[in-house]
Amino acid sequence: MFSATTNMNQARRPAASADDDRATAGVVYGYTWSAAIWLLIGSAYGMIAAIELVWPDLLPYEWLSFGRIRPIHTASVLFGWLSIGLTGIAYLVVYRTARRALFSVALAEIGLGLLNLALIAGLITLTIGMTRGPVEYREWMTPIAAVFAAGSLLNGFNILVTLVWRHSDELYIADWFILGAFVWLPILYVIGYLPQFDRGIGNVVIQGYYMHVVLGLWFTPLVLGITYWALPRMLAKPIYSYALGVLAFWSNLVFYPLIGAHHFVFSPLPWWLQTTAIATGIGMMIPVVASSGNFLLTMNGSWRMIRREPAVWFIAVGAACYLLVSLQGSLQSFRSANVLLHFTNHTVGHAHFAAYGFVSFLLFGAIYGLVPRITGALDRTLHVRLHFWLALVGMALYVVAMVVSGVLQGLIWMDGRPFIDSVIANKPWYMLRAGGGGLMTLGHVVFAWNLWLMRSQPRRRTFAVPAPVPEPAR
Amino acid sequence: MIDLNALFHRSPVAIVVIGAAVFGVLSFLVALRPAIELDASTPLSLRAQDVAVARGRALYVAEGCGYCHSQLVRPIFVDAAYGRPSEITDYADAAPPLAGTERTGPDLANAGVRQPSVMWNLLHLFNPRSMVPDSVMPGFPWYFEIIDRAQAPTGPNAYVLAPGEPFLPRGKVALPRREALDLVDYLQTLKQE
Repeated sequence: MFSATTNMNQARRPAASADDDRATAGVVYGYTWSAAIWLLIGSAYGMIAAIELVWPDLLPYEWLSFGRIRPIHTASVLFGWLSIGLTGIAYLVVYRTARRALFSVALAEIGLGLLNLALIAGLITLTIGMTRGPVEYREWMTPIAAVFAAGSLLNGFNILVTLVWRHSDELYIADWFILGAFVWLPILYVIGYLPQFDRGIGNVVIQGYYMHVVLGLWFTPLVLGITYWALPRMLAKPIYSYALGVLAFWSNLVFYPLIGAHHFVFSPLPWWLQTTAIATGIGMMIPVVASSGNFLLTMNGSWRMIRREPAVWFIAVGAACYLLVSLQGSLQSFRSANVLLHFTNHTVGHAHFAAYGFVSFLLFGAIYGLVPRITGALDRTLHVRLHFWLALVGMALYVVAMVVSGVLQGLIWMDGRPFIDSVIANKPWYMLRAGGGGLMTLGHVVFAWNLWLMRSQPRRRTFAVPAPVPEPAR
Repeated sequence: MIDLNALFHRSPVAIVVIGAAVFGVLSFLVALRPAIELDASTPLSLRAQDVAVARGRALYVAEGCGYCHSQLVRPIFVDAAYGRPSEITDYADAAPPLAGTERTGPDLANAGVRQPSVMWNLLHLFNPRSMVPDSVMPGFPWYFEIIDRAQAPTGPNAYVLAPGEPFLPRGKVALPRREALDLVDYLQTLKQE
C-alpha cells in the first residue's frame, strides 16, 4: 500500500545499537518498577478502603479516613501504576518501531522523576486533606498537577522527536495511538484545571468531561497502542487488520470526547448534552469492536501456542474485558438504566472492570511479553501463571460483587425503602469485594517478584571483545 | 489532492496536529462552551457567606464526604424522598459544586430539613454507629475532645455527648471541637425544599 521510497533519515542516522538497547532497557525497567511500586501502594490503600466499609471503626485515624484515602487510591493506580507503566512500555514500543536510539534517555529519566514527584506530593497533600474536592481524578492541587503534566509533556516531546527522526520507513498504528495520548493529556489537564471553573455549574460540566476523557484519550489510546505492537510481536505474526486499527484510532477520537456528561444523566445539565453523551456512547462500540476484535482475531489460529504463553492470556482477557466493559458502559448510560444503576456500586464495579480488567491486564501482558526481551532475562522462570489466576479470580469476584450489590441498591431505592436497607444489603458484597481485592493485591506482590526476576542480565565477563553483531532485519 | 492516509503513515507531526485539532474542537463544543454559557447564565448571588458555614463546607470537602454523599436530586421518582429536584442555580455559588456521583450514603442536598437536630448530627459525626447501628460511615472522633463526665460543662448551650459504651469508656463524654460544630452548621444549611 505504501511506496518503499528510501527514507532520507536512514542514510543519516544509525540504527539502534546494543548500547541503545541497554539504555532503553534501563528506561523501561525504571518506569516499570516505579509503576509496580505505585501499584502496591495503590492496592494497599484500596484494601484499607475496602476493609473500612466492612469494619468502619477498625482504623479511626484521620490520615486513613475513607474520604481521604479514596483519592490516594485512584491517583496511585491511575497516575502511578497505569500512567507510568504505560509510558515506560510506550518508550519501548517507540524505540522498537523507530529503530533508533531514543532522542534523549536523560529526558525520559527527568520525565519519570517529575511524575514520581507529583505522585509523592499528591499522596502527602491528600493525606492532610489538601484537595480540590471530590472531583474525581483531578483532586491534586493545581501545582502538583502541573508537575505531572510537565513530566508527560517532556515524555511526549521525547517520543515525538524520536519518531520524527526515526530510522524506519513508516509509522506504526501503535505510534499513532501513543502520539495521540501524549498530545491529548496536556490539553485535557489544562481544561480540567482552568481556575475559572473552580466554582459554579461549569465545574460539573467540566467534571463529567474530564473524568471520562482521561480514561478514553489517555489510558485507552496508550494501552491500545502498546498492545497493537506487543501482541503481534508476542505471537510472531502480523496484526489481523491494519485498517481496523486506523478505524479504531479515528472513531475513538471522534466519539470519546463527547460521552463525559453521561455521569450526570437527569442532572440539571442541558438535556442535549446528556443525550449527546448517551448517543455517542453507543458510537463507542465502533472503536471498541474494531480493536478488541482485531486483537482476538490476531490470536485466532495461535491458540495452541497461546496455551503455553501465560503472558498472552493477560492480553486475551484484556481484549475481552475491553469489549464487555464498553458494552456495559454504553448500556449503563441509557436513561432507563440510569434510574436503576446511577449512584450505586455498579459504577465502582464498572470502573474497576475497565481500569483493571481492560487496561491493567493488557499492561501486565505487554510487560511480561516485552520487558524480558529487552533486558535479556528471557531464560528466567517467571511466576506469570500464579499472577494471572490471582488477578483474574480477584477481578472477577470484585466486579461481580460490585455489579450485584449495585443492582440490589438500585432496586431497594426504586422500592422507596429506607436508605439504610441498601447499606445492609451491601454488607456481604463489601466483604466479597475486599476478598477479591485481596487476591488482586497478592497478585501484585507476585508481579513485583516477577519484575525483579526480569532485571537486566549482567554482562558476561570475557577477555576478548566480541565483534559487534549486526541487528537482524525486523 | 493530499493522500491523507500516506500523510498519517509518514508524519508524526500530522498525527499530533490533526489529533489535537479534532480533540480541541470537540472539547470546546461539549465542555468549554457549555460550561462558560451555563456559568454566565447563573451569576453569583450576593448572599453573604456565614464564616462558620464556609469553614464547615471546607471540612466537608477536605474529608471527602462528597465521595459517598451526592447533593444532586434528580427529577425522577427514585429521588422523591430527597426534596426538590436540583437546579442549575443551586450550584452557582459552590466552589467546588458537590453534585457527586455516588450514594454509598444518602443524598444530602436537603439534609438540613431531613435531620434538623444538632445533637443527632454531632453524635453521628462522632460515631455514626451510635445513631444508626448499621451505618458504614467513618466516624470523625478527632473533631471531639474526650473528657471525664465530672468535668463536663453544664448549661443549655453545652453539647455534651454521652453515647455510652462501646463508643466511649465508662464515665467519659465527648465535647465537640469547633470543627465539628462548623460541619454541623454547614449541614444545617443544606435545604432544598
